[in-house]
Amino acid sequence: MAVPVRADELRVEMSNLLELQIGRDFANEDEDRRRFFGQFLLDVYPTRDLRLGLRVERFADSPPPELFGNPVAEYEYDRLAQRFVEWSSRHARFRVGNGYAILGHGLLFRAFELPGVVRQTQFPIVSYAESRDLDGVTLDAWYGPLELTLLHGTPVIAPDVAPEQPNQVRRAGSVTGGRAMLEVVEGLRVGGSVLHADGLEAGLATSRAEEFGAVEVDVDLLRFVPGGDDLPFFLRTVVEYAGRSWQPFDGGLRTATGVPHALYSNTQIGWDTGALGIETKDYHQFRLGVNDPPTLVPEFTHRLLNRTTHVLDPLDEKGHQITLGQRLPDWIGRGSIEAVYAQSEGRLEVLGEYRDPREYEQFFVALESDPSRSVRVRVYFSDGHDEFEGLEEIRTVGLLASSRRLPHDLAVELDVGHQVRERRGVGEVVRSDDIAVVASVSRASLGTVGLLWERTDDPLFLDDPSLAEDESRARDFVGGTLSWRVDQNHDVLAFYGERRGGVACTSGTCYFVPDFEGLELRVLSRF
Amino acid sequence: MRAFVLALMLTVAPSAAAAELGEAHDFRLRTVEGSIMTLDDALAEGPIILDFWATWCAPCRIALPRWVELADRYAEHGVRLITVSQDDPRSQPKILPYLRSQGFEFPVLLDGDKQVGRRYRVTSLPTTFLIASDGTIVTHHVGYREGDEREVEADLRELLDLDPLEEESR
Repeated sequence: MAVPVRADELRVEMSNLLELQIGRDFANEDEDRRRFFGQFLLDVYPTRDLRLGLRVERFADSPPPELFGNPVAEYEYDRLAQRFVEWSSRHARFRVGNGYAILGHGLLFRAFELPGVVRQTQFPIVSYAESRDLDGVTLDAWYGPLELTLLHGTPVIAPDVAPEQPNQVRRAGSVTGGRAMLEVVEGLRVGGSVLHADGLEAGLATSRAEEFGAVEVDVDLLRFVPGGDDLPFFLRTVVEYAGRSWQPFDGGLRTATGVPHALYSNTQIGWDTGALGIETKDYHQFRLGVNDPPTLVPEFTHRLLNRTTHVLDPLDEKGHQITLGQRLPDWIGRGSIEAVYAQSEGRLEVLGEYRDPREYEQFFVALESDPSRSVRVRVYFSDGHDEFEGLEEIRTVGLLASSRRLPHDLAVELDVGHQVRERRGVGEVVRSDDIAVVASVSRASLGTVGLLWERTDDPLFLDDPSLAEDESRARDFVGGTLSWRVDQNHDVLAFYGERRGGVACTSGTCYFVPDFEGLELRVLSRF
Repeated sequence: MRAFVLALMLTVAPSAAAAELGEAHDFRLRTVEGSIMTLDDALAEGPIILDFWATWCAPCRIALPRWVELADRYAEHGVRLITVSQDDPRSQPKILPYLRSQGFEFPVLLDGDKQVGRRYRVTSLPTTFLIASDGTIVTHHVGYREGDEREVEADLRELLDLDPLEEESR
């Protein structure tokens, strides 16, 4: 399908996302919420090289949300969220308006979006698209062994603030910078990035002008070993190191130790039936407001593991992650094993002095097999602790089973997980159990119907503001899901029931999702 | 509610008039091994199945072996599977261990800032395109459910001037 309307060279493409929620938030006592979010994207190509883009967003809430008893209808918005003109050629792409850019591995600057993700603030709930764009100009150019990125504009510095909100700043200041990479010889690229930031207020970033810089190397090591090309291995290393010119508290309260910096390295070793990835991340006083350090650990799609994803603290944390993927020998059956070990530690700085180190550690292993070619089974186990979150133990076990094609074009899937957490309270350790079960039936080219059940007895999740007293028993969340492929242009997704919120992570970015009870309907369209 | 219904009507109406597929957008992306690939490079041998995916996307992991099987079945007609990873630069190191553990050998292009994904209007993963060797988009498929590949296969056979699939095998 993909149905751009064309007339001669003119090309017009549109897509749309509509989301409607009818129901109750747990953050207030309002039983009958009707909340609407719409996003419309228009791309016009007058010629092959030219692109004009618009994005319009609307958020409405009925009845108007209340904050501390006062109606705050001004939280609703209609806005032109993006507009840009982009010109591209064989060797360059130049954009004026809202755009995206990541310098290197994002140590200095990341302007990006998570397509399809609708975020919500908590008090009051306001829906908005997860788009952290740069409003300015960007240039990407490449010629022979040289690649160049230049940017200037106003970034999003507070992504947790919804757009157009009174007395809150989402976008401010300015950044100017760029990145250059040169392929010195085949298999070796070197380069670096610079960034000048002014007026960034988010987090602990400076409110005055500051310079940042980074150098990076990307090397295919076996190309420089005699006979390396003939070896049945792949060995590639990427290293990036960034520094800043300004030190926080350089008046009376200096940092106790260390020079502000960020380090990222990644070595990949591949062989015929598997590969090993070794990553190191080391951040110290590097929360810039525009670099949003990603998670240190792999992002698991399994519901319970995803919710406890550890997020790196850019003020002080360093650690490693080792990822192994290996195909199983044929005599065991068609399958693979995935193993991950991640560890980090960081310190909390209070008035110029560091407290005791906090440690995060996680070991994960998953075995996946499809021996009969009719049922694919994945079992996984994860064990670790996260002192950054006060968790002395996080142990998760789960099973994911999905069938291949059954009669009548049907297929079934079952995803079951159980997690135990031990949290250090005031003088005692509190144990809590979470269970998540998702069962679904799908039909090819038509849709999927699913049932979701979650249970938790974690005291941190028990309080329901709509009830006068504290709850003391386990809480259940039951819901049904439907996804329907109407035609090639439209997809409908629906949820009905009670949905547990919490942290959700997508593409290395974690954000908070509020609890919800009721009906949620989403329509995705392209035309 | 009124806003939702109005927006829904505005959404559905234009699609009824749309009837023509477009040309695939050009791209220039680095592969997971470090080389550069453009759309012209990808189409050099024939039609391609272009799949947008990510290591953190569960349905993508179910779909990829099916696209591999489909491309393999029509390899003699020059059909290739090319994939575009939507992984952020710092989740890209998970790609190679996953590929090798599954025995996958198709090219993986890195679209860390999702610029190409946006041009192809990828709003959910996986999203898969069938592109003819002249660059025309033959079909696209959003999401994946077991058996969806047969819908793409039917379009592929039509593109290759092969007999339609028998109903039972579809």
